[in-house]
Parts: sequence; C-alpha cells; structure tokens
Amino acid sequence: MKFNLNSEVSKETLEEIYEQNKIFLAPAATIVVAILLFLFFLLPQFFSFSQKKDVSDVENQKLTQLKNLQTLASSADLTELSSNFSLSSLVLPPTKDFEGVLNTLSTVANDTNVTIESYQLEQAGDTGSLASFPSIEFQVTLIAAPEQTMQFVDELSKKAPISEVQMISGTDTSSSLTIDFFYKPFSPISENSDPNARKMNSRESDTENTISNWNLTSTEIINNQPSSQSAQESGSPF
Amino acid sequence: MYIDINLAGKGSDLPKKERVEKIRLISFASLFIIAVLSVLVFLVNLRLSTTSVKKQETQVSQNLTNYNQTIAKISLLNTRLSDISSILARRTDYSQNVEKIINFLSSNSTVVSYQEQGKVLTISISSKSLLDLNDFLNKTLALSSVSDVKLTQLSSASGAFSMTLEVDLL
Repeated sequence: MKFNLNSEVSKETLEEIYEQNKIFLAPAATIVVAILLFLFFLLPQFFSFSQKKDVSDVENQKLTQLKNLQTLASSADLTELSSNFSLSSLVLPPTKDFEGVLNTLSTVANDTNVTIESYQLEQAGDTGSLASFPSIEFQVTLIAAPEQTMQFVDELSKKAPISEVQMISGTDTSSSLTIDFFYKPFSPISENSDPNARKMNSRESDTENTISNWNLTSTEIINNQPSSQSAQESGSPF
Repeated sequence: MYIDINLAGKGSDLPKKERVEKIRLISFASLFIIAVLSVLVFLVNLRLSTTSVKKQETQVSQNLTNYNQTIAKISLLNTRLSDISSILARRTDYSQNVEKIINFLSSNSTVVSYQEQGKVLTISISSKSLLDLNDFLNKTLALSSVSDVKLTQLSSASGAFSMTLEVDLL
C-alpha cells in the first residue's frame, strides 16, 4: 500500500512537473541542438579555415607559375633561344671538349702572335678548382715573353670553353701555363615544376651579354661544337 | 473574490509567461545565428575550394605539353648562364696585374723567371742598375692591387744585380 502510494505520488509529481514545464521543452531542445551544432560542426570548420587557406594559396601560386610559364613559352623567340642555348653550351660544354680546347688554344696563339711549343693533357677527371664544376687540365708551353704571355692569358679568358689559368711560370723567352677548361653535364629537367623554367634574371642576362661580347666568330662556333667522339655522356638532352 | 485571494497563483503566471517568451526568443535567436554561421561557413569553403584551381592547373599543364622542348631549352639556358656567371665571378685572373708589374721593368732589366699561382706572384729580375731594381720595387709596392711585397733575394754577380720578389695580389 505504502509502496503503491509512493509510486503513484512519484508518477503524479512527474506528470505535474511535465504539465507545468512542457511549454519550455521545445525551445530548450532547440537551444541545446543549436549549441551542439555550433560545438561539433561550426567550430571545427572555423579552425580548419587557416589550413584550407594555406592549401588554396599554394594551389593558386602553382597555377600562377604555370600560367607564367605558358606565357613565356608561347612568346619565346625560338631562333634567339636556340642561338643563346648554343652559345652557352659552347662556353660551358656539357662534355669534355678536347677538340674545342685545342682549337681555342690555336686561335688565341694566332691572335696574340705567340707560338705554342707544346701542350699536354694533365688531368681529364672531374677535378676542378671551382667547386661543382668539373674540368680538364692542360699544361701549355709557349714561346713568348712575359708580356705576350699575359696577353695570351687575357685573350684566353674571353674564349670558349670557359677556362681558368691556375698557374703561370716562365722566363724572359718562354712560359708554362696550367689551364683548367670547364665543362658541366646537363642536369635532368622535371616537367613543369623546374625552378629554372622562368624568365631570365638580371645576373643571367648580364652573363649572356658578356659572353655575346666575346666575339666568338662563326668559325669558332662551327669548329668548337662539342665533339661527340670525346663525349662519354650525351651532349644533348633532346 | 476567491480568485482575488489566490495571490500566489496570479503572481507565478506572469514570470512564467515572461520566462517562456524569453526562452522562445533565445531559441529563435540561436537558430538564426546557427543558420547565418552555416551560410558563412559554406561561402568561405566555396571561396577556399581548390577544385576549380586544380581543374585550371590540369588544363594549363596539358597546354604546356605543346611547349616541352621550348621549356626545356629555357630551363637549360638559364641553368647554364647561372653556372657561367658563377665561374666568371669566382675564377681568378691576375694577368692584368702581372702585366702591369712586368711593365714597370726598365729597358735595362730583364725577367729571369716568374711564377704566378693563386694570389702570389714570385718574380726574379736582373739588371745592371740597382736603381732600376729599386724603382721597380717601389712601383710594385705602390700598386693598389698589391697587398704585400717581400724581397726574398738580392744578389750581385758579374756586374749585374738580381732580385727576387714575392708579391701578394689582392
């Protein structure tokens, strides 16, 4: 009896509470759902905006670079490009250009009225005075006074392949030079994402002007084309 | 009359009505805020979407396949010019300085031997006049591209003087 009374009271109390407060149920539930939506849906979205912006910026930058590359490639003067490419490959050949070196020594000797008594290949390995630039080293003996030798060295510095005189020694009538002639194989190119596939910068443009002014004659350009018989690596990437 | 006595009942209805109104207002407001924020999130996500950008990238990449050789040449040319520029900047060329020093020699003096390696020029000269050697030494010292000169040997034999200098070039 007592137990039934208690449960009946409890049931009646609950019903009474429900009747009194049912008008609050719907709005309260709406508020709770709104809070849950905010916490579990909207807030994570807000936090992810920064990351999404970064991704978007990266993709937009990629697109801009590709569009710039497209503009550059479509507007390039192919003749001038080929000519500049040939000249730069002549100055810094992709392979050991023995024939080019000998031709250059001969030409410079003629230009400076110097006689080459002898020349000798010292090293043909990948050793260079300048880091990361392999070279072939020649020992050249000249019948020349010191002044003529200096003129020879000066003239050689404006010829292809590009070189560096490591040592000069001599007397009043003859001299001996140790000369490094540089070369560098072509690097592999990655499609469309190569950082060097862009407009020439000012340093490169200045260098292009410098080597253009070296007055490499058409004869020299023809004679000094990188020799395939001396090549161990491919002389052209195409 | 009895209704007038029951002051508690009348008093609790008004605050309850107000509470109901308030809570309804809050619920509508929260719904409205959630709706507005959801629309904002949608618009921002649309703005930051990379789908159209990636589509454009694919299209431009496809167009670029027509220019593969040109792009390769441009890249190789730029690399080559950059390498040549590095060599030009770093290679040593002392021929002009050495030429200037040798030009200081008088007609009575001759070069016995010389060697230039790196930034050091070692030169031996011979002359019948000690004054000429002295003049040569002073002119070499005064050259702006010379940082130091050492007299390593001075001798005379058979009426001629010879001198060896070690010249440090800048």
